[in-house]
Amino acid sequence: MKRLETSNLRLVTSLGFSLVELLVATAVTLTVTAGVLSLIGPARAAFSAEPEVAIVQQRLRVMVEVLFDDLVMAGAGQLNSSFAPVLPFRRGAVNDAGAGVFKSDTITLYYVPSKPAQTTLAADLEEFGTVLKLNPDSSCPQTVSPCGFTAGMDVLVFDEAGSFGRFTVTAVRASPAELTVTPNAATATYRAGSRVVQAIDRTYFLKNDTTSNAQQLMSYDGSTNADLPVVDHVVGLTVEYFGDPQPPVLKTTDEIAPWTTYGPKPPAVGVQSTAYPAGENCVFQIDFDSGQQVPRLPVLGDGSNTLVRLLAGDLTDGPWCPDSTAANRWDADLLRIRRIAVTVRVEAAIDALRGPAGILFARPGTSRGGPGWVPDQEIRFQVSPRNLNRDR
Amino acid sequence: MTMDTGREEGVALIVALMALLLLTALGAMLTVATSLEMMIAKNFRENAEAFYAADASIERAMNELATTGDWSAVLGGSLRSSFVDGAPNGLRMLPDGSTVDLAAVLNMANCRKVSTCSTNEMDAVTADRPWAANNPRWQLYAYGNLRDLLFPKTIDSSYYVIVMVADDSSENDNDPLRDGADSGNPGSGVLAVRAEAFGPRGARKTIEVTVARRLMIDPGRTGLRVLSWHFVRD
Repeated sequence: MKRLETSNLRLVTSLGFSLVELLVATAVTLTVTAGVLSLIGPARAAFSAEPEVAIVQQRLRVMVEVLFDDLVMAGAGQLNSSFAPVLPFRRGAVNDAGAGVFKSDTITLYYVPSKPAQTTLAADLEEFGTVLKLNPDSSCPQTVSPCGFTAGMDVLVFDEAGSFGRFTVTAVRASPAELTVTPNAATATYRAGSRVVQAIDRTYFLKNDTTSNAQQLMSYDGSTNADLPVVDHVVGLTVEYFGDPQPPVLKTTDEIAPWTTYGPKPPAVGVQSTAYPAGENCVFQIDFDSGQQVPRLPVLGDGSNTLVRLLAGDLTDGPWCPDSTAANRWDADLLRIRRIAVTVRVEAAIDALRGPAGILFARPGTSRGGPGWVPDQEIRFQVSPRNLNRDR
Repeated sequence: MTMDTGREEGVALIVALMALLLLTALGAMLTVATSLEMMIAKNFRENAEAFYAADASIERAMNELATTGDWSAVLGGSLRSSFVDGAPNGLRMLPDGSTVDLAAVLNMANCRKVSTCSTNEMDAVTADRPWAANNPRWQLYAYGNLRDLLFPKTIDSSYYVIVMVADDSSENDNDPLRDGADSGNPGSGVLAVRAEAFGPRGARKTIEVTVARRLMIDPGRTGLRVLSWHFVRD
């Protein structure tokens, strides 16, 4: 009996499942499987999105570093004593924007390297002239004659009237000291004594080419060289300028006078150096009543020393340096710039990680679901160019 | 029955091992990606901190130099900043265990080698130092931990900063240990200042500034005017 019972029991356990048991088991299995699958989908999306988030952030870091390093040095070499080393437009041999332009997504910077080749002109350089006769002096670098200049070097020539031009050295001659150059920007006449200095010229701008589907931060060096991409998938670049509200002051009482707190100093009273009347230039004029040289630029804002935002109108309405007839003219208010704010926006490179255009995406992608989105990332940073904030 | 049971256990083991392998691989990938990102972000942060450390130390040095009457004493090495942490030589230990050798830093600035520079080496004409006898001869001016630059607990930084000074290269008196006194010397009242900041894991930034006494150009005011400010990329 005992054996039979045992046998019966084994028979019961091998009978299989009832329909109800089978349905319950299937339901449980399906529920668990659906639960797991519902987790796998978003996890997979997140897994493919996270590396792209990291890449977007890396693009932002590269942009900040590249722009910051050049912005912080803008004007090195006391350039803003003569001309504006920061321009809100493209200047150079190719696609020069011309005078009176403001582009919020473009900035051109000039600065002199730390050990520059430099000297002054020994003779006038006429318009379209291509030979710079140099005046070697004792402060010239003595590595390479003349004064450290070599073929291929980019140089700036500028005078005390506010005229400046960029040239590329094609040949050098030691005796007599002279450089053969290719004029790369608007030409002008430069008198003997004008400074010649090795310089770095950078234009950064946003390229938004819908034909080739290229959104890039580009760099241009002012020459006939091609534009170079710096960072891909940049969908926003905005540059804002903040300036000194006070006009420049002309110092006439000390041993090295006259000199100005910023901008080119005016010619002596009675001497005419530009289209402005004698004794005047783009930042100083003769006061009708006193006959003294007084600032041409007005006080901006509330008259305090707090930096004021310089808008497009402020930077394109004159007064013009060296004067309004010069092809290479620029707005004198550009000399006020003391702080630059830059806003950059970068998108995910893969269309499938971008959703519809809107707040999150400047350009639409193909993704329809939120978990796989990589929204555009934006950063704003401010730089006080150390060479434009000179007094301590 | 016993054989079947054994086969089922084997499959479970293999499935479990495969799942474990997959998860381990995913976890490893995520760990590598995350740690790489953290390292990149940390390097970016160190780069920024090194810049601000060098910039802060050079501002501090300029503040003291503005009120220092005799710049020739500074150029000769007999007068230093109040911001020093001992003798102007020897090793300084950084929190991460690395060291900064003050003499080596000075020699590197003067002749691009860590051992003592000879006069000929310092006067040699090179791309970095093209002014021969008027080449700058850097002297240690200020050095110490950045956190000691202000009151305790004001600056939270592990950086070590060194500020050096030298005669401006525009001088023409062939005496780099004396600030030119005559008015015909273009470098009279002009000084070169170099700041180097050292941080964890080799982080380093160098800034060079040329400053002029504002007293020379504006008798009504004291202070300095920055003539040029540069990163040094070496």
